[in-house]
Amino acid sequence: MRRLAAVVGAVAMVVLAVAVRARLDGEQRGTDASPAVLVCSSELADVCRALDAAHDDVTVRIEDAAVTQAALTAEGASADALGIDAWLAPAPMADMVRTERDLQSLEALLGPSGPVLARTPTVMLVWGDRLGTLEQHCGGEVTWACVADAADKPWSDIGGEAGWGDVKVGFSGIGTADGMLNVAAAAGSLVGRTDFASNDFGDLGFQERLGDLARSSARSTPTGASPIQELLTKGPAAIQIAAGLEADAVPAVRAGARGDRVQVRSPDPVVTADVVATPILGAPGAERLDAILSGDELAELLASDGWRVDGQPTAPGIPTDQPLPDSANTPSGGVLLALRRTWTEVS
Amino acid sequence: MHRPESARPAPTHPQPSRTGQRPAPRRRSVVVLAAALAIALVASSCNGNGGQNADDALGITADCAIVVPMAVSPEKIDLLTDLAKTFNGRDVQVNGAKACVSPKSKSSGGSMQLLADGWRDEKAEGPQPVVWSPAGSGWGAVLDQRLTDAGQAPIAGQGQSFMNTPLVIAMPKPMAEALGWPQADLGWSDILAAVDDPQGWATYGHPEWGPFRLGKTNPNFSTSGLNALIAQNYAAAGKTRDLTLEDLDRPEVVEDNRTIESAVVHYGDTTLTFLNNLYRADQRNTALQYASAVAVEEKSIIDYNSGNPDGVLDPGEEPRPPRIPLVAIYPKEGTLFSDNPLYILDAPWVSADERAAAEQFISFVLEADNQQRVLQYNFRPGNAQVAISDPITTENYVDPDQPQTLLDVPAPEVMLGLLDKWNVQRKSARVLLVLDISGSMGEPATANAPETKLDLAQQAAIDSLDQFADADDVGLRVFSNGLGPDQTRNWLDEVPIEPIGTNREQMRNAIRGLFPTNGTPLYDTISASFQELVDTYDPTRINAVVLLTDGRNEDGDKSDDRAQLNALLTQLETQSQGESATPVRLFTIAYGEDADLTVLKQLADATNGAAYNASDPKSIAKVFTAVISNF
Repeated sequence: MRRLAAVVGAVAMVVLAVAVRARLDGEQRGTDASPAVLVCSSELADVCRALDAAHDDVTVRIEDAAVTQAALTAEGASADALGIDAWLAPAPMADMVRTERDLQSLEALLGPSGPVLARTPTVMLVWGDRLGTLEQHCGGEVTWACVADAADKPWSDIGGEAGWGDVKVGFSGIGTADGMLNVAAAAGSLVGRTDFASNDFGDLGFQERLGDLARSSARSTPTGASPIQELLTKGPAAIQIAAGLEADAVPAVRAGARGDRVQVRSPDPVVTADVVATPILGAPGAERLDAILSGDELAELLASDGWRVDGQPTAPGIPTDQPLPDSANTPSGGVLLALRRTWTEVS
Repeated sequence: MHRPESARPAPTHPQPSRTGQRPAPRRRSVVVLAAALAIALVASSCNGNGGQNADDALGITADCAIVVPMAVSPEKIDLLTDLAKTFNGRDVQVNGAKACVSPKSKSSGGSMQLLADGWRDEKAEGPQPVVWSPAGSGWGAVLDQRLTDAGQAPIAGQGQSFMNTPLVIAMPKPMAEALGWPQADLGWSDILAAVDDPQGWATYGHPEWGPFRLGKTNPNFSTSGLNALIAQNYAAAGKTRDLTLEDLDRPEVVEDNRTIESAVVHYGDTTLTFLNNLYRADQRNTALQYASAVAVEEKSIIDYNSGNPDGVLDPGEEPRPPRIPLVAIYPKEGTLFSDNPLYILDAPWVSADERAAAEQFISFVLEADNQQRVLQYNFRPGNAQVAISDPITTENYVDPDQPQTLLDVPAPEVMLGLLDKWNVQRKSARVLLVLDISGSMGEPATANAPETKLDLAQQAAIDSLDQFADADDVGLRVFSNGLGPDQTRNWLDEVPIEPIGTNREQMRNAIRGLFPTNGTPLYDTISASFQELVDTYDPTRINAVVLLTDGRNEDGDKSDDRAQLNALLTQLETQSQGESATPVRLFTIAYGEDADLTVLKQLADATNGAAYNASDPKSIAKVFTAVISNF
């Protein structure tokens, strides 16, 4: 019995020591003594690495949005426990977290997101010699709805050559902001409006067509690779139609292995990724990060990385004659959560 | 200097490890796994840069506080060594400590099996890898499936592909043109039709080319062989995706597989054996009689056409383009990429710092400057910002706009089913094992070793018997002077060539009973053994002599050795080349330091076979496994 008590006591001391250390770490983070921690969604990797390199008092962590979302919606999550001060990601990602925490009756953890720092539209990359066939199939402009009708079926079914194999579509993983927003764009196209709701996902026709896109994407990117990378490095054998963000796609196509073979399209409805910074409530370094994130430095970095930023020149290749819609055309966080579940189910 | 996907037959310098380890008997699938393991060991010892010298070569210095061990497939070890040197010189920091990487060569199939088994023996296999880079991501899927089946957590997950090369059908240009290239879209169905045609090339206006002969590697060891097997099964099933176990049992699929396998010249663990043999045949102007088509990676065609068939330029060697180039046929049914993933293993031995260092290395490899180096090694870059350019050009008979469609990698259980079926459907072999029992075989294998050279060779030969399928015909011959009841014979047939399914135990007992005797009548024995196989040639099988010797020709009269050798080479070449060839392959094993690898290579080359180097006697088990992978 005495031995058991000793063991229990020892374990308690260890737990206490860990807790105290965590507390001390939390108190130190973001103070003058330690760097503030900024988490960036993977679409902003290059921008955030540049920030990291330029600021000794900032540490950057880059991860897919769903990874951050999972951490922020976990029970017991707090600024101290998570060790992060702010999150830089497309706007609806934070909204999804707020909704999820509400659903779980958890206290608010995210402060209000700041103003939109940069924007980029979702785009569709199509292998050049497939575009004509696709336009013919779509009766004009190519939309995600008509791509869904052809996805995962032989090209010869829609007038293409037998040697082209199946129509292969690629979306980034649904855990990324890129993937989530492009799936939202596709869903908007399937439903026929941008203000769709989770009620629309019960429709069997919707599920079937969304499923064709999801299954084709799963086949085309079995290793989880970026569909734009797959299209440009492996050519039409791997993927012929890739979803992406303009900020990624245009520079890649311009610099790329087969850029001259690829057409970039902005199918209706245009959805945009609007970058915002969101502070973690109670985080000691949030204020310091806010000062950095609201300055010209970040704006310049974003613009040179292909994002559209008010008052900044656009990067080479980013079209100046195609204005973005006033709204991001993304549904609410709750609808996105439901869409993510549906996409996973029909994959 | 490139290296092949698997062990190069020769010259090699295997190092000792795991002596005496045996594959489990009987069950071929288990044997195959053990064989893959052994091949990995051969490959690693052939190409690895063990020890301190390797660290120096990689720029790993004392201030490297974090060293990330990597296991990478052999064909890219030179590229990754090159990249590692640059990375290690960059002073990359992880949590204040300098990070370095240390790539080691391991074949894809072999390292997959080692990881599935927990990579238990670091002394023999090298350190447990933090980063694993097989040739294709299919190996990662198979590894995770194997672990899952064993009730363990997967450790590969998603890798980061950093370069690509597609599987193609390589054909000598005139032969491809005879089938309609470049206008016609060709594929596995055309190969099948040509193989199935009893008139052979005569149907295409070239009776002088004989039957359609196909080069394919053993899919248990080689990524090219595995991808070719997947592709031919898809073609036979009339599918490009969703291949199922039921498909593999469909009679027409079984029949098509048997037909394609029937045209195989021989198998082996690396495509480079074919390419080297084809190149030599090309120099003799007999390439078109050796092989009509070989399933290889695109990069190998560029290597070959530049005059560097095995991708390795030895010191002083100049690449000389072949008379007849190979052209790449991108199968119209679709093909697969070797996508060279870099996996950071989610294994218990991987620390957070090692993981962080590995992530830094992967980012480094994907940098545009480093992706230009990928092109220099004839691969396609994995970074979309680097254009696919020279040497991936039509001038080199490869097409950057191909392939047009890809095949889906089958589900892991179907992959395992494919390998099981292949073991049954592959072309049967007819093999005479010829073992040297000269007096020198009774010497210790190494200084102070309790085993003799013969002891180790016996064990290796016995273990290798499990690699044969029951339907293979195998016989055993031994050679030395003064054999037989009258002590005048140079060789004795211990076991006649018969189906090994019925004489496996007899073979084992016969091998166990061998003891060292007198001299080494090498040339006489090879001549007689080869001629016997020619005289009893079975066109439905791979006909081969496997000869192990630890010495040089020693028949009591040295004065005529040169003349004997010339006569023997003429005999082998005459029977092996040209329109009327009777293709019996000679595979030689140079065993111990005194064996004459140069002569044995000449003899094997004369038959379009291959020579293997077991100069370190303790490597004999691994070398035997590599040799038997040809069947």
